[in-house]
Amino acid sequence: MVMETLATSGSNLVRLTNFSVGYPTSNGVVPALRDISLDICEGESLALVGESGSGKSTLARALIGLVEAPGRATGGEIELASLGRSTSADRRTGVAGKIMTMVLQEPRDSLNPVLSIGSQMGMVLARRGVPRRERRSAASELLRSVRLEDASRVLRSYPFQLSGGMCQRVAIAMALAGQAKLLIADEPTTALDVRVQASILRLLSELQREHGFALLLVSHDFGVVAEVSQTVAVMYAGRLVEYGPTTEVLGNPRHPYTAALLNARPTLGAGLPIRPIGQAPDAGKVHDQCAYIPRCQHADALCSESPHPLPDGSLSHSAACYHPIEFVGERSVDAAAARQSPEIPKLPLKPAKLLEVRDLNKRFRVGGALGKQSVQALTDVSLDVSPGEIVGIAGETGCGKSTLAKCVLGLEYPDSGSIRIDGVDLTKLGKSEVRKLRRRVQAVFQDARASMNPNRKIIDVVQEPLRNFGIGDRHERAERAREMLSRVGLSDDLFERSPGQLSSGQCQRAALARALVLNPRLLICDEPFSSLDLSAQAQLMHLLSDLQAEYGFGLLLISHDLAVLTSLGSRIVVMLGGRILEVLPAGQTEHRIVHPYTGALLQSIPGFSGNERRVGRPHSAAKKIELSGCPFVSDCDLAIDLCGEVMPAMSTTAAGHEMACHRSADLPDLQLVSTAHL
Amino acid sequence: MLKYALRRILVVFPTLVAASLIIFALIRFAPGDPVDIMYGPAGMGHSTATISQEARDKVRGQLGLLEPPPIQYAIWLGRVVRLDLGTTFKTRRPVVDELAERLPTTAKLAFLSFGILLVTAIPLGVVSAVNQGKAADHGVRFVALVFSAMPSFWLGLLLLYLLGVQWDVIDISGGSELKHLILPAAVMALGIVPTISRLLRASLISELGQLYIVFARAQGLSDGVVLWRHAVRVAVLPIMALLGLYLGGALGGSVIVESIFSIPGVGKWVLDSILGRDFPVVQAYMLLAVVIIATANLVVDLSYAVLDPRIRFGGRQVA
Repeated sequence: MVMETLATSGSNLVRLTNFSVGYPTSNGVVPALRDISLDICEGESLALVGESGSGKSTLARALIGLVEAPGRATGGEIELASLGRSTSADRRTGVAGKIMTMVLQEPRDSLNPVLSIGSQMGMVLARRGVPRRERRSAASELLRSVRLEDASRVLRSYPFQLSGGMCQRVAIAMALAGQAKLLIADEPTTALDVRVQASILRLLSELQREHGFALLLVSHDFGVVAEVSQTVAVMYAGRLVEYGPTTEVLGNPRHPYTAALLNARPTLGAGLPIRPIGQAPDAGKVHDQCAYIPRCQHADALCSESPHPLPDGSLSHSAACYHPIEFVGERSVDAAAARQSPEIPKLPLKPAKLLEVRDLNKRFRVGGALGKQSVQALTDVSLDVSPGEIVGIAGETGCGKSTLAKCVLGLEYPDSGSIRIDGVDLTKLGKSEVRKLRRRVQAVFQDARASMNPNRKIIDVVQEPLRNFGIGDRHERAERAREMLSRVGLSDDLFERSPGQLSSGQCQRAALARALVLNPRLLICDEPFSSLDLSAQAQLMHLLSDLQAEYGFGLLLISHDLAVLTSLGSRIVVMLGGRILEVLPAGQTEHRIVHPYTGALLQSIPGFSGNERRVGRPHSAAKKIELSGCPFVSDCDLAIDLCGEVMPAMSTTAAGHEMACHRSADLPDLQLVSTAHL
Repeated sequence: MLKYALRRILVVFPTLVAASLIIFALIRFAPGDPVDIMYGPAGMGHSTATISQEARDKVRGQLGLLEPPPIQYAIWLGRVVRLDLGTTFKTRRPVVDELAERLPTTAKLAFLSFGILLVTAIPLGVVSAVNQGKAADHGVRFVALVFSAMPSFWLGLLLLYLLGVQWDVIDISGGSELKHLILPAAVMALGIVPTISRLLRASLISELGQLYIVFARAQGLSDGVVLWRHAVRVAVLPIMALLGLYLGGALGGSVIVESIFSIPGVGKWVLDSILGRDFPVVQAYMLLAVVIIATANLVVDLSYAVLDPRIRFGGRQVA
């Protein structure tokens, strides 16, 4: 089916021939892109996939003429059907905005923070030659076309007053202004919540049908790619290594790298992803041989002697590999079998509770001294963690999951309720006693690099907790830190480096070492994977799982990604609007009868489809109406009057499965299935 | 916005009261007696006419210096709020009258130098940011270094000599006309041009690296629009506080520049009064300085609110 659409797709729009980009340094030009050949046709939907550093964003920016200084085109050609030949990667006048346009990863940062949406759109429309008087109505029209109701209010607003999803819609509206033939979307949904992501992806597909532009999607998420794109180009170390129709590339990958990347993706209903080997090299450090050799099981002399010719980015499925993976039929079945099923820690029947949170309430005042507004961040939250157990907290931005973590760490004080750690109530302790308790409760945060002093060496960062609690002498501390760093898989030569010199994955490992060096009873990880690449994420998931089995700490794992949580075999607590809506037992990999909100989250995961795709309007984090009822009521298809008035109590529906829903008896069977080729 | 403005204005009053107390105390702790300075120290066989102790006390009584300090403060404050700043010890004329003669000149000088500062520092900052690491950037940096290393009295004298005497292109006879003020205003501004332009450069370089610049370019906006309407618009925010403080300071008069260029402004008047322990003048001046600085800060705060919606709306998400 996809092949047919390809065959009938429009004439050539952009053609790259052996296109290369490099960054001049004092040691010569460091290549960032090498010999890229690629065709983009009118109306086509192409995805660029790869890990960070693979060059996919550089390629996107080079196309539109916005290579970051001092990078420049070092060879090859970009041919634009409407302009003729052009080799310059510098700004090509008349290309940006008119022939092609771009939206970026961080929607809020893509807009000027101090100008109103109206004035920013006005500038773009002025550039398109819209007379001053007509700009306002033209802007409203564009906002309506990206399904933003109440255009006049949006035009008056500033970016910080809009949600991330709304900012991305505004950005897309601005991109539509020039009626460009190619829209480049650089990780357009990566920074967004899963339900918002689903709505933006749907919007992009709909707009593409309506306006007929070609869409170049840059993404690291195969689910997103499977949902949106007809064709996929896989990049590795600045080169194109595989190209072909999406169903072919994802269903039957030929390059070992593509296969490894697909296997590293955490999948709902499957165990831990297959453990990847090594990490992606810098495009600049790779020489004229296959860059995947150090991580490849099939590499031989041929691979290092002369590189396999690269795919030329025309229609057929091709890979830059002498030993392509042969067609094995249902790869997905194969890979699923190869995945380790998650090990559910066997807990004693009535385990001693490590962490007991009871009826936690927390209200934040927002605004200045005179802005009397407050937000209920946590309402009656109760939660247990046993030693050796993984409890995952899932939910969207603003659901209260990070506030809960801060309360447990003693960094925020709850208004009411109790937090017992090993039976000791944290809320009744003084400052110095809470400090002592921190020896037993440690944390790893989302941005590990930002959580370390950039001027210290890694080894000192890891030693710091020991010094804080006066454990051991100088020699013993250093010894213990080294041991821990080796245990998390960092090699000796990294110990003396500063956090800035490490990759994101390595930083996250160091942060894990710092947290575990005190041998805590409870480890809290707040979105530890979300800044990582697929393979780094898979490696860290394995590491976390191994370390937990070894040390037996309780793990409170906060993640927006349900697939990650199920892969790790955790009990899952689903939160919305500061309340717990559902608790799913560990090891239940097929969640079929779930809370309607959990159902909406599951169905929003790209690459999956339920029996009926109901995403609902994404709950806006800022839209904090004081509700006496269920926080999901406004988006719920099953809501009855009672739901808006009374918050349902938690009730047990099956062993270990609790939910708070008035309609728990009438919930549909979700029948969630992975989209065939994933 | 209105709430924000009101809050800012209310904060000014306690500041003024506290400042007035400090000013009153400060000058009374300063060594030196006004009567001694007026008539020469007591008991010194000086050639100038010295007067008897009784006469001294009589003068003190006339000047209100025999009352206990708290009473002196209350009397002074009561008059101040009625804009009666007393009479000078020296000329016995109302301080307000003397101030009114000098303030317009100083204000003219201040706004002129502020204007010169803006039209030099902002383009220089932008030029060096856009040409980061290139010859233009280094050139601006070098010139800035030279000017910031040169004290204003030296720069003033140098320009006075070169432009006024050697080449005779500028009127240096001293006065309050615009032609008299251009050179001193430039000398005042040049002292801070390097600071402002370097700060703007750093701020602008950081803004030019932001994602919204990439996005604006990707929409095909011209370099000029991206630079001035997007980047500079945000980059000036951090330097506004400094600009406000500079204007406030300049309105208070520049002692050095006014002295060198013989400008009949507030700065020179105050210098003479300090040397003569003319309490009412010095007090009035310090109070004026506090009012000006407080007002300048208020103006800065309010313009931040106008230029930065995140401050205007208190950073709250409303959507």
